[in-house]
Amino acid sequence: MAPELDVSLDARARRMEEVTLAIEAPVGALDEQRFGDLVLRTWRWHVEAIPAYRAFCERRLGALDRVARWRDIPALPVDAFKQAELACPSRARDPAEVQRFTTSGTSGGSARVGVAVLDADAISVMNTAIRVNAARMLFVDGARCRILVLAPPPWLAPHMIMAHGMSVIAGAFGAEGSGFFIGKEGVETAGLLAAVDDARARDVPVCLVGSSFGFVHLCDGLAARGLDEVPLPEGSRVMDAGGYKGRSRELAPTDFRAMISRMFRVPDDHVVNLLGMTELASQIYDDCFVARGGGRRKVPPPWVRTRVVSPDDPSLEVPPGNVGLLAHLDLANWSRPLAILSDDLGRAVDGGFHVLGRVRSGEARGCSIKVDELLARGA
Amino acid sequence: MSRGSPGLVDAPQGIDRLLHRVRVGHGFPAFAAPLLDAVERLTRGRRERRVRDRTLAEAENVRALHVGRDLRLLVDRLPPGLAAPSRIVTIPTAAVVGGITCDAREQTPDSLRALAEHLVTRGRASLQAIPIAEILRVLGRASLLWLDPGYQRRGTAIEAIHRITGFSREMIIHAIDLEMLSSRWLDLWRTLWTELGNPRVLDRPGWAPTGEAHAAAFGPALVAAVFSSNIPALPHLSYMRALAVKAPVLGKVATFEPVFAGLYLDTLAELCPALGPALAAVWFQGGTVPLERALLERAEHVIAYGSERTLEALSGQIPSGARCSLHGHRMGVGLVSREALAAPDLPRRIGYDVAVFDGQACLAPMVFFVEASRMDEGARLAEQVGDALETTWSWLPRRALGVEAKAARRATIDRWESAEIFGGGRIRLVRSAALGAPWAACVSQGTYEPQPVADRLLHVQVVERLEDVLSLLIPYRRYLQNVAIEAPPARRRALAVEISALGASRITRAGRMPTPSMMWHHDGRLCLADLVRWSDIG
Repeated sequence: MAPELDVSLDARARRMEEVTLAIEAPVGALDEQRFGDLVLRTWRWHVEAIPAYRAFCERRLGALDRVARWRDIPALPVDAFKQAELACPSRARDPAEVQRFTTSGTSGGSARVGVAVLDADAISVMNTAIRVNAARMLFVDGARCRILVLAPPPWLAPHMIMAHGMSVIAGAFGAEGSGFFIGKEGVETAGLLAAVDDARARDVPVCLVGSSFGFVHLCDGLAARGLDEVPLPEGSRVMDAGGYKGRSRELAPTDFRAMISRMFRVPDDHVVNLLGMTELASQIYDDCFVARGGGRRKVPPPWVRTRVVSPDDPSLEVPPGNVGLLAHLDLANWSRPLAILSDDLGRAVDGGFHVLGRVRSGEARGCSIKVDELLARGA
Repeated sequence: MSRGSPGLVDAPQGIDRLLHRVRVGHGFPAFAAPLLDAVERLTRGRRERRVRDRTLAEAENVRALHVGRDLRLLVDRLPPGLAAPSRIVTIPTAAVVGGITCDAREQTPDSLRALAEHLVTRGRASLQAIPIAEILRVLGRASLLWLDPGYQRRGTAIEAIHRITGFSREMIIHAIDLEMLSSRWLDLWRTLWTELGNPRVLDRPGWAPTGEAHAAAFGPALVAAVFSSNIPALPHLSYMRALAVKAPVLGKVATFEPVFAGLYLDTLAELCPALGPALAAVWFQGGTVPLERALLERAEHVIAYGSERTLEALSGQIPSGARCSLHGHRMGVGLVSREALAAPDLPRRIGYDVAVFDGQACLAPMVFFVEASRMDEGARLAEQVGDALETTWSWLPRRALGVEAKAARRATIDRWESAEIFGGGRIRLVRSAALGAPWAACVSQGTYEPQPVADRLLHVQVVERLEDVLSLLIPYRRYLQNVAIEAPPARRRALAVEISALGASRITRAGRMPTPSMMWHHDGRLCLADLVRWSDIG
């Protein structure tokens, strides 16, 4: 271990300040060395403060001093969050200040849910990351949109990180009339239509944000009302997050975008998909809105590194163009492990990556057993 | 490949064919079991070496013969004289290895109806005219041909299935050997004899041990079969079972393994052209409701393999009144008592069970329950089985995995590791120190939770008493199929009865899990008698 690590609360506050500054730094200002330095210092703190995480790192690395660069940090499989609450002890005395976000059951094989524990500091860093990122990827034109959220508000879904993130975005960028349009009864289609009409009357652009399956439900609901299209005002945009996770009918991303563009009459490059995970504080946006017609790829913010690694050995990246697992390192994961091995498959492209799908463990063909079904029916 | 080309290897000959029967244990009375075990123990090592050498040599032959050449196959088979659809489509096989294209005639509901009609009329009439003895002779002869490494279609099937599914050539060779060794003339005869009492009632009314008078037996007017891709060479079983009761078959091949059925039908039609009008293999995208309905419309019996979801969707299209044999998900389990844990050849036998078909079969073991007080003992067995798996790898390599399958396997191992590091000590990950070792194992205790163990993963669960397993398995009883029990004779018998009562349909020994006989009550049922309709003729 490096001797200079200072674990005092003072030092912790200073480090947090540095991380926040790094996130807020203009594009290009966070150089590789500064990033690496901050990552390694944060990681050392995590290893000191979370014994179970230390056990994981020791097991993967043999010895902790093998980590000389940020790339050497072993990526923690997301499943670990289903087994234990992995976070540094909170600075706050009051346990109510610690928030718990749960994952929807991701890959098969285990029926448990994962838990992400965030204290006030972690939430503050995460909110900074959310704001900086949204400003660059979704509101880069400086538009003040009416943000209509297709997700439940945080007070209805306190454990859903997506609800939290969207409320941060709505609070920071939303014009008057922004709000949440999923309630206890599901999608509030009538209210949403009224909000859109009102925005159209005042000529305020709309930003529809929500979970992908929320959009599918909305479009089904609109179709059921006999509406083929609900044109949004000029300059409007759509952001969808997350996949479907078996909750709604599944759509290929291109079909999803075609459906959204048709329904809301927004150009294809104004439909932005966002990759978010409960295990990560930062989100990764499609760059289509920024690049305008320059294709579509996921571009991580400067404080996040996404690598496409080999399923055989996640410490190795696959050759460019090959498919592998996505491993993210997120400096905004303030008090929880930085490097995460997701169960998303993807491919690196110039300057970013494409998400191709999710790993389904326990799939089997024919008469051999499929563990998901067994668990679902047996237990 | 033709007979006599250089470098050819021998088919399993006299002694191995006989020893296969010994190993499977069928055709021998129960009191001979200790003798068979002794014979097997004495011969297993040498036999395995022989099989290994033969398999490796044949795999190399097949590889050398096809290297650098892309394969293109028309996989469907339609009866001669039937106007076939003219449009040809390429099947999206998503070949794991690549270098193969599979085509099929594009079916429409109408073309499938015409095909079914042809099979029900012309095919059935043609079959009725052939004596059952002749049909069984042809089926037996076909099995022998398919056991011959010089048989060209066998080589083609091995290479094609390898390229599509990623199964190693060695595994496919072994699978074909196992399937065909248990489908020879005597096996067919004896199965039919056991299930019907008198096979000749399929030709004309005659004496049968059941029924009030002389009886005649009839197979269904049409058997429709839907195949899966998880076991190489499995479609032959459905064709064989149907033909053994003189029923025409309309088979739908799997998208991810469409080639074997057609090649096998070629063999049958060549050996006995009169079978031709009664046999068909078609392809269309599974889940296409109008086509599935047309496929099943005329069937009096439906045989289908697939996941629960596939079968549920399919059963909506099965005409009312048709009988079905739906082979859905099943699980195999192993039970090892304290006394049996020390048997020196146990790890090798378990390793074989785990390796065959790469855990893809309904017969494959999902878990081995080991009677022990500490997890260490389970871990030790897992390590020994791991060593055995490395040896097995040398002649039955694991299938090639696509990136998704690799990632899924990785996720499973990661989950075991996470559970060990972060969980409460209920699960331990055991694996070889060597990076990229071909196996990994999970040792657990407490409540049984199924683990995805395909592709050389092993799950060992430690239990205090082997009898506790019964209660652990209650939630999964309707999936129970194949159970290997290693315990002293009296306990083994008692456990066998109880676990059979719970739902298992085959109790066997470790090392024999993938080798049931033709006579096995597949899913607990009589496979041929289930197909037959009787008429008592007084």
